[in-house]
Amino acid sequence: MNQFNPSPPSANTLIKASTAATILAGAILTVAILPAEYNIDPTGFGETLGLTTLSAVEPVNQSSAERKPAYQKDTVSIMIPPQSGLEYKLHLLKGAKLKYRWTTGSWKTESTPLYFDFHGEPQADNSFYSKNYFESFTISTANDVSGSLTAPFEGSHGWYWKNSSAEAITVTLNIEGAYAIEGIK
Amino acid sequence: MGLLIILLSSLGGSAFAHGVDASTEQFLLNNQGVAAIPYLYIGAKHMLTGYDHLLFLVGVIFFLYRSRDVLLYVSCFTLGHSLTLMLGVLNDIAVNPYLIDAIIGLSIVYKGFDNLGGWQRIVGHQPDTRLAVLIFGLFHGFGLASKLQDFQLPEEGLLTNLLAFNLGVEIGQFLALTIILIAISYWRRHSSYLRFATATNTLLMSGGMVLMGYQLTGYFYV
Repeated sequence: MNQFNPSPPSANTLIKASTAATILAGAILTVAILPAEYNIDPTGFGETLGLTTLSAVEPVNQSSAERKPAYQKDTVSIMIPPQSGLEYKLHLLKGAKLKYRWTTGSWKTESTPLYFDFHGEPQADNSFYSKNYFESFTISTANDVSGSLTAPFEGSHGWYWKNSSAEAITVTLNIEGAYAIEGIK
Repeated sequence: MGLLIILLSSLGGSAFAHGVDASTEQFLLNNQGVAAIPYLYIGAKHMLTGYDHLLFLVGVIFFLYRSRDVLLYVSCFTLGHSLTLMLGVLNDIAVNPYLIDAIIGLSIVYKGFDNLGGWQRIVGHQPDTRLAVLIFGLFHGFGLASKLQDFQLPEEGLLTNLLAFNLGVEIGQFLALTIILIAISYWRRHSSYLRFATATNTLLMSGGMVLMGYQLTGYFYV
């Protein structure tokens, strides 16, 4: 052995050291680590010290994260079945800016004009607006529309398209802004 | 939204003794193909910030006074963890990270106890320390492997990246060792070193036990 251990501790010291190590480790675990990491709190100290909140709380306030959607860009294809209409919605905060462009048709099919209603509905808890209130920004029939919107209120904004033809029509929608996609409704 | 995911993953990651941090995680998830230098860096950082590896190293070199011995023991450790790191990742051998981290905790307890002369007292003779260091090195390697396996590493350039990671681990270990050695050598000049030798190794044991308890609870509870 190349080790140089000048005076190995006596058996007595060894027992004392091992016991002390175990007690210390046990105390740290039960008082601090288990309550803080796993919400296991056999002594109740973890709660007294406020450590259990570390593991009891769901990480990060979800709603605050939802309230501030990141600036993003998306391209969405929405298929509108023949003889029917559907809505595609985005959640926007008041004052949020949205840039958009949508077209019908593709390299294969001819671009068909669609009846559409671009509108917004305020969030349900908004007492300023009456129930079922909505505001239309554009109502028209077109096959290629681009523009921008500054949301007048927080809520669900988007398009209603009506396909009165006998064939399915695919709308390709490009959007850019700070929004949360609600999708087809 | 991306920020939220990073926040959440960093919370989750910190539950491990030596998990990779959020930005590293993002890199590992997004990386494709050969990226030797980043993997080298992650390996080195991982070793330098992994307190369980560092505690074990402190235990190993605590009573090693000659640089030849330090080199010999650290080589045993390196051989061990390199083997299992490579084998583990290449053959997709996954060992439960909680169990591995608990065994790494055990290795610290073992070494602290060993430094207190515990095995000589109990067993009557000193178990081959080089062998013990080698064996625990094997477990540490599985620990390193399990951290990389959390991410579906692309097959493309896997070997190169792995070698780079391993080299990074060695560099990190070398740097950590240098710092620990400087500090310990300085402390050794003072009489307090020997006076506190028992206390230090007791604390080392205790630290290892805490890690064990932490990881075992995670294994059974999470």
